[in-house]
Amino acid sequence: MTSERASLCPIDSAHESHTVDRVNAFIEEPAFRLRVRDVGNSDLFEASDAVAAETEILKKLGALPEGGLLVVDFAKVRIASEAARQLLRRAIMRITSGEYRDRYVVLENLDRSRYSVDAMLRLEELTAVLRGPSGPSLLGKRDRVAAETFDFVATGEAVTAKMVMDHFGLQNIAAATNRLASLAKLALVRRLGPRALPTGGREYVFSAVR
Amino acid sequence: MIPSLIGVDSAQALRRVVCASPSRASTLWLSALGIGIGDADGHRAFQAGLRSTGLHGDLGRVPPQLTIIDWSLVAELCADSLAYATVVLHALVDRGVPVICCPPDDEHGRQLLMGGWTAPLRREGVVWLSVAGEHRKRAAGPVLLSPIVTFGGSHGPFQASTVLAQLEESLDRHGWPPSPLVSEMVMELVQNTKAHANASVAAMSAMLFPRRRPAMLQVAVADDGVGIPASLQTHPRYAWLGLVSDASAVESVYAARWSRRAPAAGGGVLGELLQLLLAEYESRIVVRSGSGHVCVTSRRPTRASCHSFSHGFGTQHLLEIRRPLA
Repeated sequence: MTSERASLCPIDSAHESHTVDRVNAFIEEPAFRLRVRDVGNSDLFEASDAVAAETEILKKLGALPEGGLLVVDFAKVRIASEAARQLLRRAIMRITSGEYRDRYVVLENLDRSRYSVDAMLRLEELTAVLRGPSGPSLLGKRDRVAAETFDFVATGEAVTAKMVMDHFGLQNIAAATNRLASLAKLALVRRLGPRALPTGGREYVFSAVR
Repeated sequence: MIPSLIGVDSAQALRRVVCASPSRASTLWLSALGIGIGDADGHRAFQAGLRSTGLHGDLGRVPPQLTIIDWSLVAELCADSLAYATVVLHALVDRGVPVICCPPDDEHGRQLLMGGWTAPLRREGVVWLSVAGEHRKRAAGPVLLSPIVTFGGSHGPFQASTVLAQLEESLDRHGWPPSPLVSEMVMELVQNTKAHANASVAAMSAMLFPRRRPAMLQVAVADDGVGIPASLQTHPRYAWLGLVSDASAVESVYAARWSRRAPAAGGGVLGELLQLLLAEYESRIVVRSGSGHVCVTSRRPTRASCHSFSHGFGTQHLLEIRRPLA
């Protein structure tokens, strides 16, 4: 791990690598905090509350620049699965389908509704990133390979396919690239610009959504 | 008739009154309900009393002029009996049937039932007998963890944060390890009731049995809605379920994650969470809906035990969770 981190340093410092402007270059917008509407005096975030919040999220996603990261903050609410579905499904599907290409969503402060949102995402076959005190983790549909690759990418600022290949002892670089490309397609990691290799050629740098 | 009953010395006197005019009153002997739906035999016994109330949709039956809910012989109160009794009581009063309640004989049960957290059981239209004299002494039994909450219909929304925060705080006070899954299960059950039951009243109750080894948490949600089988059959995809028993229809919801909504439309989350609960805790889940009674335990999470009754009223969910060993 130490050697991996050491090899990461030149990438992390733009002035040394001269190939990427900045690693982990997410442009984080101010967190979108969910609020329960003052209707019916209920403090449970319901599907009816989620309709307006979803519209707001989609609007914010549409306005994000490339590499933009929208944090959805659940700190003040308890949300049941039905409302979570209304709130997140369309946004995540539009991101992964390419409509909002290179935009990202991360969920925060989901302590009180984690299981419901996780079950909802699993049934919808969607995956999202949860920002927690111990770092980012995946919610929803996740296979072992995707989860362990994401965990590895999330341990550092950025990784390359070669690092993934070395870490997991893969047979070839294509397998590692496929793992990272799959995560990038699901908008769980961001593929940053290519950097030149000292030995010639180029490689992409990936950074986890966090 | 009702005012003259207030202040009688004991439940025995009330029983004599009922026996004297059996055609005018129906008695809901809650001795059986005290066992709760967790025990199919107990529930079957309670049905005999429930049938006399006419609440199960027997429209040909003349509603009773008076119903007596008798807790005097209940050995130990439990969460599902409290939630269900609340729903039955509200349904009767809303239909204009006067209700008389006999408190439990033992001191602990009386204190529990007459405390502030059981206020929904003492609504207008319900007369509680003040039974004087000596009461049975019992060691401290179960404790209520949060107020009995009524919601749905004219009973207003479910105050999720208040109720669940109280539940979590009480569990913490009793040394129960933090378990967000339990709160989320309650939230999903309440949400499900609101979305599917079409109920005029629903109730939630949570109790802790600290003297059991290991300690046991009971959470119950009951409603007077259409029931799971009838709700499923409103969808054309499941119309054929009318051919099978209610118990089989209820089982399919939890075993096969069936939902009135297709998985692509957000259905099946409750079944998913219940399976998660069974996997994480030593637990038992009992669902009684329509005439079906289904029980799943964490020891055999894929094999539900099903019973069919002759009739039923609304839906009851009971979660029994054992405290995780350190």
